[in-house]
Amino acid sequence: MLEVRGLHAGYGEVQILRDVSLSVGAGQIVTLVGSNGAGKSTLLNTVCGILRPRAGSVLLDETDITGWSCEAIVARGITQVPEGRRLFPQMSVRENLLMGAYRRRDRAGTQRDLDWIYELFPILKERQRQSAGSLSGGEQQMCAIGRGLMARPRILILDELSLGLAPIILDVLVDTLRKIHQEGTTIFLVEQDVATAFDVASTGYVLENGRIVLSGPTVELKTNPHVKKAYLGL
Amino acid sequence: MAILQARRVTKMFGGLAAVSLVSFDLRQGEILGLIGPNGSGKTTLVNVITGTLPYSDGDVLFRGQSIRGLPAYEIGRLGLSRTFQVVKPFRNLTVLQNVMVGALFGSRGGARELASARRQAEEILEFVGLAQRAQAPAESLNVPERKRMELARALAMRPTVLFLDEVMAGLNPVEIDEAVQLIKRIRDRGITLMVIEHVMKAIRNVSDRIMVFHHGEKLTEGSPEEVLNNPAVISAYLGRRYAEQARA
Repeated sequence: MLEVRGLHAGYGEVQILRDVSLSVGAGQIVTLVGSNGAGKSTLLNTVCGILRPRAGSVLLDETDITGWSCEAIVARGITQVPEGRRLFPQMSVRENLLMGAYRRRDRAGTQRDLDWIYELFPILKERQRQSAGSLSGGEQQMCAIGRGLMARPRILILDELSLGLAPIILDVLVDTLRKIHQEGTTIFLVEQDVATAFDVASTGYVLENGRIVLSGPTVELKTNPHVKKAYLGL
Repeated sequence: MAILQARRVTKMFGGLAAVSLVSFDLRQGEILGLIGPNGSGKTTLVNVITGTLPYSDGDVLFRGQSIRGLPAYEIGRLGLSRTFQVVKPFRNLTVLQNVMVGALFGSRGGARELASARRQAEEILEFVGLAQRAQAPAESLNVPERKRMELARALAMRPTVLFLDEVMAGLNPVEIDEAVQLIKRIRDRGITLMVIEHVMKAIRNVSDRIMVFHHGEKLTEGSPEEVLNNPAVISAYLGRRYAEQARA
């Protein structure tokens, strides 16, 4: 569904991504892991149209979307749940969720999706009139995922799902992510918590210094000695 | 001996008790870990103790004296420093200048002129491993560097007690090990620490004792071994996947 081919990208003089290729098949959960500074955010910015690559291309269902604007890319079906959630803190939970559907015109469908989000995250329904800034970290992450889903993406990209979350709250989010996946959304998870990422995803890529150094089924990556030492802390 | 004693500290937000009747002792020279689900009141407790939020009830004694009702800057000068979860550097200042602000503002023996503030700030940047970035603009730092600068600013205030609020979020396993060593070296300087963290590997390795919050109340406290094997803690905080990994 999503394919990145030979991507080179960077900022100013600094080259960050070097010849990065990866693919996310329809109906899969795929993860990209790597340390701070490896280039994960640069890759996401390039895929989502925030940054123009120097070379290479991004394809969505075989359409070349390289260099498209963010809004055109969202309209085409890619939505990102950004690192650190980036909610609108003064707006209510419900308003934040509706912002995800900003460009949709199908009222009935939007309402149906809102009900679906409330079913996935009942706590959001309870707090729908509260300001998003008053939510706990876990609830904020739920609201951010809900807002992303309200755009009806074909592929949902999550940047650092686990950041600052209690283990038990991460359990809940992981369960929900599986449910969202079962209901037909393709998921691309970018994570620093490698143990969790490999639990959820079937295929993984490891990014180091702007290059993909390893890739394959996560069951195999988990036993790779380099991954164990550098990322799982074993 | 307890350097800080919290007695039935309570913080209400409207009808909701964010922190409810929490009592504990922070012992001189220890590292006390504080864990609990998101929204369980950990940061609110630190906000109340350090004067960022007013109490609804209860009291905190620092070296036997009540600090309830003191403004945040006085509590800072008494020797209680903290870091913030979302780091708040002065974006247009250099790393060194950011740390100098802490040195100029801080407690006992703090710098009263720029030259000594600079010396102190340089020493602390060396200590936290950020000396090579001293002249960089604060906004150019990456995530682990930002966390270290936040730590350096708090240390520059020459605290007796330091509260760390998620300084390890977003770090990889290698960076976490380095942060754990750094926190232990801070303790070796004679500073008592309370550490809020969700990274279990870190909290297990760094804490002398762990306290657990749930719904604004203290669920339990004890040694890392006791607390992390406590079924109530597993069901309220650690969760299923942690228990599975621990068994494996």
